[in-house]
Amino acid sequence: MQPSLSVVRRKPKDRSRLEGLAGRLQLALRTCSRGVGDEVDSYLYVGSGFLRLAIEERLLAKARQARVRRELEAVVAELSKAISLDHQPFSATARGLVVPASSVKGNVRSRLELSFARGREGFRSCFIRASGAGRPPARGQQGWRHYRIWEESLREERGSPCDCTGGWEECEVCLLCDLFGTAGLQGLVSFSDFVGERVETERLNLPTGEKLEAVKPGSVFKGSVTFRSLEPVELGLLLYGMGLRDSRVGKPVLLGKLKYRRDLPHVFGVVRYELQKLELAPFSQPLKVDGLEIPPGGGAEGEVLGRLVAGLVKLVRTTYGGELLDVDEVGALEHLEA
Amino acid sequence: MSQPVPWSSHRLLLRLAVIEGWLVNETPLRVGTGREPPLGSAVDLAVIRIHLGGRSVPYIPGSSLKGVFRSTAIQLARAKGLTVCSGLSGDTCMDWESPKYGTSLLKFIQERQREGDEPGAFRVFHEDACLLCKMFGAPSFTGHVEFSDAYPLDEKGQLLEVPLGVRTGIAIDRRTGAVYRGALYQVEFVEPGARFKLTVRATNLPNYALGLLAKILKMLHEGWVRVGGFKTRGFGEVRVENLSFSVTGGTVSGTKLLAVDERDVEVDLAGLAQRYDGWLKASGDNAWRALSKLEEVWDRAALA
Repeated sequence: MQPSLSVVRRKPKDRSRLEGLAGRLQLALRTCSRGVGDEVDSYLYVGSGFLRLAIEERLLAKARQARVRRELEAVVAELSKAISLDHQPFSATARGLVVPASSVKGNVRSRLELSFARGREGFRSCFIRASGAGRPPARGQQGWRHYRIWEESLREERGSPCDCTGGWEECEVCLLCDLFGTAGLQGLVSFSDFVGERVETERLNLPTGEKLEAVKPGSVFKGSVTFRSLEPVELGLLLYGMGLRDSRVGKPVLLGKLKYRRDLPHVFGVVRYELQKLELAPFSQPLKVDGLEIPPGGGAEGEVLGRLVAGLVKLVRTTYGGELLDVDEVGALEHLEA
Repeated sequence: MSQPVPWSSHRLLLRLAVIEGWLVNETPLRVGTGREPPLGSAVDLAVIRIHLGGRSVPYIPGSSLKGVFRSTAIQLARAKGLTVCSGLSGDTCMDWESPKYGTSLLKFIQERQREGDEPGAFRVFHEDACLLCKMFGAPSFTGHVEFSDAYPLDEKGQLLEVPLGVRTGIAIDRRTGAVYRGALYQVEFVEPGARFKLTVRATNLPNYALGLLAKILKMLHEGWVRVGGFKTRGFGEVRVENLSFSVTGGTVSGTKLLAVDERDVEVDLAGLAQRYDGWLKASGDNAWRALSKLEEVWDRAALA
């Protein structure tokens, strides 16, 4: 492993100014399904972080009826043997099942961080969360599939993440920390929770002993991403991070728990982002790309939106050239398993 | 109409404007207690609460709302070409060294006051402090906009239920693709759909300054501006319901809000607002339309 600590950093954009592009992307996140032409049927599991315990109602009723200490102790003794882990719930709010904004943000950001290989001046991005580089994991060790898929950008050390807690004067950040924020610096891109719209769940008992309440193939979550003070190329980068390339529908990408596991009876975590609408804020600059122009307060949908995506991604590729990897993570995973 | 006493003075009440409504969170909302959760809290990041009606309930402090409005006002004012300060302690236009006075504006004004020249001191403030210091306040100067704490109260002042949720967060280690050690946190939030009573009172503000407040309120309502923490992770989107806009005072004539200074423009709210007990009041959609008219004044005002 070749050690390298060079990350290209610059002064972040002034958060107290409204400049450049501001607007909102309306998106759908769909679990892949053969029923709609995808190559795979995929479940999705994003946990709530809480464990659900199953206790027989008979025992609870007994506990409620206990009148003296001895009776209660007897029920407790019985209960401790009868409690088991129930199917772990999918993440939810009062609005129903959600893929939390933090999961979507992490998904897009990490894909972009991993998509930057070393350029002439160094890496365009730090790793905001990464353990130190050690020996590459051998096949079968934890993280080996992840390493193999992203090997080209993981070979070198990138050093400490950007940090602006020392104050504005000393603050210099990489391209992605400027966009997504870091300690002491607010991001310019805000994600919403992606709320389940056409979602079916299934209780799965995995051979590993895990019991999950997962979302079935073909389920759809909807959400938005709000942005401000972006250049067109940065907006393109955001789309690139969602797997969008030459149309409104992104290529399959991996998200959530068990996404790298291919030794289970079900495939997990293969999803597509689909851009449904782009709106520019009234205080935005106009968006001009590839002969198209969206005025402040205007928007784009359908075929025009597809052309916009293609134009913005072309701009990204022209700007970052060979530094920007185009990893087919789903294909690479299948290849590893073959 | 230009006033003999500048509008930023507190000696004269030219007008009082009140914006009321309910903030309803569309997404999880978290206004936190600071770095440390209270004793006994089951989460790392608890929401702020106040003891009200015998219960401990989440609320949105007026200081948080003021922060949202002032920080957005800075962006809008700068986009319009105005020089405005950050409003942060030690970095206001009152603290900056002024070549005109050879010292900071604050020291110069305090000197005038010590010499008994109160009107002179005030004139200097009005002419040299930035618009936002006059609106929201500056060191040694009370602002003209007050934000009440937003409590979960209904129209009759009765406490509303505020359902709370807890979300667990992790970070993914870029190198291993697994969970990053030490990055686990649990954040408490107000579930979507809670209602908080919003009250903003503004004294003496010219129509363009009311228009600036109106613009920010609309940006909040449309989701361009968010409240509280975790904003880039989906939290803090609110909409404004049951909006009302009321104004009274000597610079309100019939349905007209007169110009308050030479840069201001008169606004007629005929058809949108009615007079009740000395107040000119608009509600619901008409309140939004009335605020849009004021917003237009802000958009067109030549203030730079």
